[in-house]
Amino acid sequence: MKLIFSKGKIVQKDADIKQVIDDLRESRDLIGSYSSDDLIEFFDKAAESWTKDKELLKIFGGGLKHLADFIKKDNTVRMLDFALRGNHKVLDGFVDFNQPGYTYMCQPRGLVVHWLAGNVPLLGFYSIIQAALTKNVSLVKASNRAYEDLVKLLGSLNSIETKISGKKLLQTICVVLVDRDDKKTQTIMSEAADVRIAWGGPEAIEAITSLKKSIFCDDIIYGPKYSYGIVDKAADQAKVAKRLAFDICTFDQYACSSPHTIFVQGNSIAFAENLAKQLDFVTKKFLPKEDRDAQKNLDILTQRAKYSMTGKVFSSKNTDWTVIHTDEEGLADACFSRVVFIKPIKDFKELSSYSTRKIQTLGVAISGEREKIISKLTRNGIDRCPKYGEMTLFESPWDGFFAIDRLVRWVGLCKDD
Amino acid sequence: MKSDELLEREPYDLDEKEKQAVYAPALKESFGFHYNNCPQFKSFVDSQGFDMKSDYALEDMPYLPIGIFKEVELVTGSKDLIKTMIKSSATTSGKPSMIPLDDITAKRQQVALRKIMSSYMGTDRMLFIVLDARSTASKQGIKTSSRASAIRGLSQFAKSMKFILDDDLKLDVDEFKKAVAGIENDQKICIFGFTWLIYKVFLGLQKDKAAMDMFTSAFTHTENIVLHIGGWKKLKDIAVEKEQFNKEIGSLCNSDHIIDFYGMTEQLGTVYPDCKEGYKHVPLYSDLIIRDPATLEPLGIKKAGLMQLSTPIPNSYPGINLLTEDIGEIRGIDDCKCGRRGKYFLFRKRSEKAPIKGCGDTL
Repeated sequence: MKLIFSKGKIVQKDADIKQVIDDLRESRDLIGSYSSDDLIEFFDKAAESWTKDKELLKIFGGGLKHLADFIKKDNTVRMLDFALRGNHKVLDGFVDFNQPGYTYMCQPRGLVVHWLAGNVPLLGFYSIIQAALTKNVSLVKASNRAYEDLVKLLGSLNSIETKISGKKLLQTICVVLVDRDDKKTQTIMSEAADVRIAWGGPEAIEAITSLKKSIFCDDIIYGPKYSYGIVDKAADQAKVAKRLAFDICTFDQYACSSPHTIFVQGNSIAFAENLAKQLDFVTKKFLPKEDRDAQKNLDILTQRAKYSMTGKVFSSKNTDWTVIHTDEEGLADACFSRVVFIKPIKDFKELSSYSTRKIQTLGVAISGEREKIISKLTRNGIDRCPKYGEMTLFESPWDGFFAIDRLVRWVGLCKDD
Repeated sequence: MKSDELLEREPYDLDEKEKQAVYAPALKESFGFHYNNCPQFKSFVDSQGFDMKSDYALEDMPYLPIGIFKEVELVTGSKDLIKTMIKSSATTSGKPSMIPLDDITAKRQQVALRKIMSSYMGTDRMLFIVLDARSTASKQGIKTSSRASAIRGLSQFAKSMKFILDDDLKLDVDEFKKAVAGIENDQKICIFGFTWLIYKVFLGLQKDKAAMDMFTSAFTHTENIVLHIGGWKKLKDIAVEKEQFNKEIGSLCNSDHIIDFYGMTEQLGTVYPDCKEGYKHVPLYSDLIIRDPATLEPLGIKKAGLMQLSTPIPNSYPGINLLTEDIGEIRGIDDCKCGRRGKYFLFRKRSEKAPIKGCGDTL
């Protein structure tokens, strides 16, 4: 086990995980002493600083801008209020919600242990900040492949000074690297957790959830999920294609909210063609593809070859992006790496049989009986239905629940007679 | 057809320039044949925007990724002419490749295999001790496993074949004793099997000293050949490298002539055995291009990348130009010390599937 970020400093040293956990627990009083408004102000200042930091913007691109929007004051206040029964001050003391007999306060759960997914370090940041806003301390198990950017971004908080000192706040967050086979250390982390947050694909999630934990520990699982979209005849399909291209290129489709299949009413071939142009544009101008391993290239070539025999394929000369038009029914198996399937459809209600808890985000560009259709489609699954261009933008609730609410304990105090 | 003319020649006699003069027209003829007789292949080629009438270089010819045979059943010409359906072992993806063979393809494959292997094993037929079960090789209906197909293909080099494993793929001591009892004094034999299976037997023998002694004492001729095929994936999983395999299996079979031959179900017949220098040679009947795993652009010699193998041999399916999942490296052309001409290469490894990187999932 390697400690890579501790007390605001980037380090690289072997450490005793039990000691790391004890140190974090000791810092609970520190974060508990901040008011929620002071924490909100702190992150608002961090957002302002990030959007001016050219180096960080270069590393994280548009993802950082969204993270900054997420932690801006107006958003965090709205998000906390929405999740906490309308009043975030409940994090600081007892609030009268006009319930008979009791006032209520939200206490932090304590130690939140985060397991972050592969190469999407920014996603993990959303859970780290939510844990801090609710006055929890965080132990973060980063991915071996993507920790440098994460600790760089965390380190940038050192220079933020509001009523809260960034240096001090960072005493409540530690980042470690643990070998995937090091079950012993992971079990210690899991058993110490008051909340476990896991981001990742099926193997990672299964490995984490199979670890021993306290019976009072709550789990917040982000992923493994699949997302798709619908576009009706009345939609401005050119505009949709333009925005959808960003949804596909962001995270190279490896996020749970990335779309893999789009059902299109009307001229679906023209939509596919249009999307191909937009993918080419976005790839060249904004988000060049980084995912280029041999097996993935072979997967892409196999999909292209298969569907060139049965459907129509629009693709870049290399393996940068692929649009496959096919009449095959149902959701296409995700290939990832900017491969999207366009399927013609007459009635969106046909899709309700594919709605399961595995489906997370449904991109929506429909009018008419909008709410009726979505109500039917989301009955057995699908947790959010954003517009195109915003599919991968993290928000609360996510995956069907308010993480904020799971990061606190509600304490009732009888009213003074 | 030009591919049949190609097969009349010896596999390693021409230098690369001479080879290309006869190989390229044969491959192009085969390409045109499949384009005209396999509608799916035609759709694929057309989707690449490829002009069949252009004067193209072989490296620009559209190639299929090898995984396509796991996804689509591709037949060139009439399905009625298909006599055998070869099914691969589905090691990596869980899905087998399905390769339809007609008589023409099967015959060409046999010729290619005979000519290539004769260059390594000589033309004298040998007793084959096969580390597999007899039932593996027996034909059941039209579908045949690639293991069965390899065993049957090699039977043309065998005076007789003795199978020494039971149906659970464990050493059948009785069959083994019967097999070795038939070995005459100083008779050179060939011990043949799939790489992982040979090693599995070896691991079993290590736990049973009596059986190990029985096995090693049975092979006394110092020129015995150990011939193995089937890839290294299972052995890599248990961290066994080629050097270790050769040492342990060489000692088990009293042989320092161990031939690992690379081949694939999708292009049976054209196989790539190790020469004495440790290299694999590209015969006249096929060609190898190495592509950059990231950009898929062709690479020059001594650069490792994805192996693309072409051959004009297939008649009943369009597997004439395939990008494999394997990483290899052309080490030289026309100048191997073993005397064989043409390109020679090293097989490095099967490319590895990267784990899913985010919180997204397949269905």
